Amino acid sequence: MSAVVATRGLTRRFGRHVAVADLDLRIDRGGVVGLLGPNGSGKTTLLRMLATVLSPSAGEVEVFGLDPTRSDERTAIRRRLGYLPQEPTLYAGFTAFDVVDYVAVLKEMTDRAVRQDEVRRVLGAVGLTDAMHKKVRTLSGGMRQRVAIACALLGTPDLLVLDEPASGLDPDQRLQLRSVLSAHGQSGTVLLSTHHTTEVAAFCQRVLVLLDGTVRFDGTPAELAHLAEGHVWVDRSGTHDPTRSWVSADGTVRAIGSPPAGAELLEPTIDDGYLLLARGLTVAG
Amino acid sequence: MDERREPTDDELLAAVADHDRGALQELHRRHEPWVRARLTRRCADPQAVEEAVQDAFLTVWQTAGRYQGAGEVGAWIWGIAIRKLLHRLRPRKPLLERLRAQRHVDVASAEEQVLVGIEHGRLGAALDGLSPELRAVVQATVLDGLTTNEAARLLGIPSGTVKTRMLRARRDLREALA
Amino acid sequence: MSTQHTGGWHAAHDDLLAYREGHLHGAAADSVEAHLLRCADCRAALATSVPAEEQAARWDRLAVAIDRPSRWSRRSTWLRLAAGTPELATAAVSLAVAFVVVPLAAAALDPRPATAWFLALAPALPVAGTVLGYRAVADPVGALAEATPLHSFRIVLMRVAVLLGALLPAGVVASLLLPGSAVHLLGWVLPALAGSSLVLAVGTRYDPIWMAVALCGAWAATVAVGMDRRRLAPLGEALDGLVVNTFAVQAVAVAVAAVAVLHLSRHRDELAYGASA
Repeated sequence: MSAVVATRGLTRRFGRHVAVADLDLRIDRGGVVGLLGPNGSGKTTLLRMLATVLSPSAGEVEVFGLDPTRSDERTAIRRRLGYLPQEPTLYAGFTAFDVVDYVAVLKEMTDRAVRQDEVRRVLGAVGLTDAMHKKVRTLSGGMRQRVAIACALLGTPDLLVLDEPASGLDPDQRLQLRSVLSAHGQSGTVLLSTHHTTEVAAFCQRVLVLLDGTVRFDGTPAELAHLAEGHVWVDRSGTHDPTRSWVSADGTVRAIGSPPAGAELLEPTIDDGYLLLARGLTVAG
Repeated sequence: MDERREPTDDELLAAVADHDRGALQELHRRHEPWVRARLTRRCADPQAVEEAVQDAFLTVWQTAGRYQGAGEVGAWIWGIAIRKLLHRLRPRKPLLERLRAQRHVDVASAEEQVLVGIEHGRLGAALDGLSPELRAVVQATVLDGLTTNEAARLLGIPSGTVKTRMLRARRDLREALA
Repeated sequence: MSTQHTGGWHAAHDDLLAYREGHLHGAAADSVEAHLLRCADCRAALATSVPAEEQAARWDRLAVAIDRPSRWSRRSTWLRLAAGTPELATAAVSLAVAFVVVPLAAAALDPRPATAWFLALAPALPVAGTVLGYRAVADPVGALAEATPLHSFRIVLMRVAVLLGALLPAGVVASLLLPGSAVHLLGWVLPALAGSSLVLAVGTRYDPIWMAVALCGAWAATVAVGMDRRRLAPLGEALDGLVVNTFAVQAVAVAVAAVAVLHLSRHRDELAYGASA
């Protein structure tokens, strides 16, 4: 079975800065893959290369088995791809409907009736049916984000590449987004990046942790949490390092790292696993 | 809309002026049935009625910002709908006549308040006693809020005849109620 | 007409149904009808009596008429992609008008410097228009357009065609109306086309702005220097003697344009897939 995404030694440099370093990745069809990592870890660069928007400095990348560096194959990839950039900008004088309709034209939907149905469908999927004829300048940040997500959903693409889709959305809207993306993951593939471990925990079947341009973890959310097994405990010492511990909701102090002998261990969460990786306190085996 | 209670027609129309599609849907749900039924009583052609109603709500969507009344949304929508029907039945009138037709239904409301007794039977019976021609004129000018000229076009009679019939209707009604 | 009703009277449900179905006549129907105009509760009762699918179908028909892009966006697809936003279209038209009006107004005041300035600056407008075509390629949806299949370069070409289509004729009209021989005043046209094609070709890989500035600057400087050296000669002779109006320069312009166009036809798909972040 050919992979949806396959990279070999994928590298991207900007001047002397290496954003993505020698990355090998394979994503098969179906499911939701989460990309976790701090700012500057190379998430956006990687997503842009996979979305055929940016060319690699070195290495190979294949999407749907096609090579995005060849222009005819790139167009073929783009016909089956939906992309959400990190900070979408929309023309303030258009209505939400206008924006999505315009992108639908760019996606080669020439038939007006078919296009109208599709635009209404995706705007409905993101909960903007009632607001679809409001001008962008009257929409809140969360609504504008949802307009951009709707654009990515046009044409039900086989691969969705979303850069921080939940940014600017309130919890209720995040829930709705999750259900839309999960449904999409049944028949197609979704690759999304986020800062928030809760998004990942909620509905990603697979999570990749990216640090300094390399993949430091590749597995299920449960496995990421498990990394921190035995490394999370209750700190009753009274003196604690703020980079490794904090006061949790019930008032106890939760610490991460090497527990002292006899400490009360706690059940690790994805946050804990991610923090351990990010702080370099452990290496994923 | 996050009001817990039902929004009023005025609030819905204000939202429509703000391009709220859901507000238009609710206004359509509330008003389309009675407007269509009322138009059907005036015009036997169902196609013309359907198109007039559709055009009317399209106009509501496009001109909601121009509504300046308070609590008279139903009458405003009716005014748009009946005029759409008229335009369908006859070609567009010259500009001067159209300007004269821009009067609001306010004139009818004053008269209608006089006729409020229609619900109480006596006046209804008196109205029943009028000849069909006189009743048609009363219905067109008072109940539908049409101007004399519009009523004339709708009924296919000269506007002078509309005026004389209206006078006779009033006289007959006064006699019946005396 | 208020939404309240007098005295607590409401239409009977059966009457409402009959009225809606057209079975109620005479004064009873008039009664219900007049009441409906004033009673929101009875209107609601009437609305509830309509089967949901029937009402939904009627709404769907209305929705098809409402769910359209706004008037600007309902134009032909070509124009919509080419002009992008209403502001860009207005800019193109304003530039074209200015291209004619400003030189003519200046010439009315003082013909010689006006003509010299016109010749010096004329190619800058089409070249700037071509740069603008690249700038505007991302508008009005910005990065949302980056991964779409419709070739961005086709859109750039459409935009440039619209801008040049407005600017070049305007410039030619100005050239014909200004004092001085038309042949000499039209010496900017071929170089402008050459400059625009160079910008188009370079822009597929790099930001063409600096090259555009350099080209227009060089042209303007050459004209200015040339006119200054011939400031004592009559206008026609001065224009005739300019370097830029020699056959050699015009021929070079044609050659450059041809090479650029050839390069473009081979590399036109490279736009938006390249070195930029």
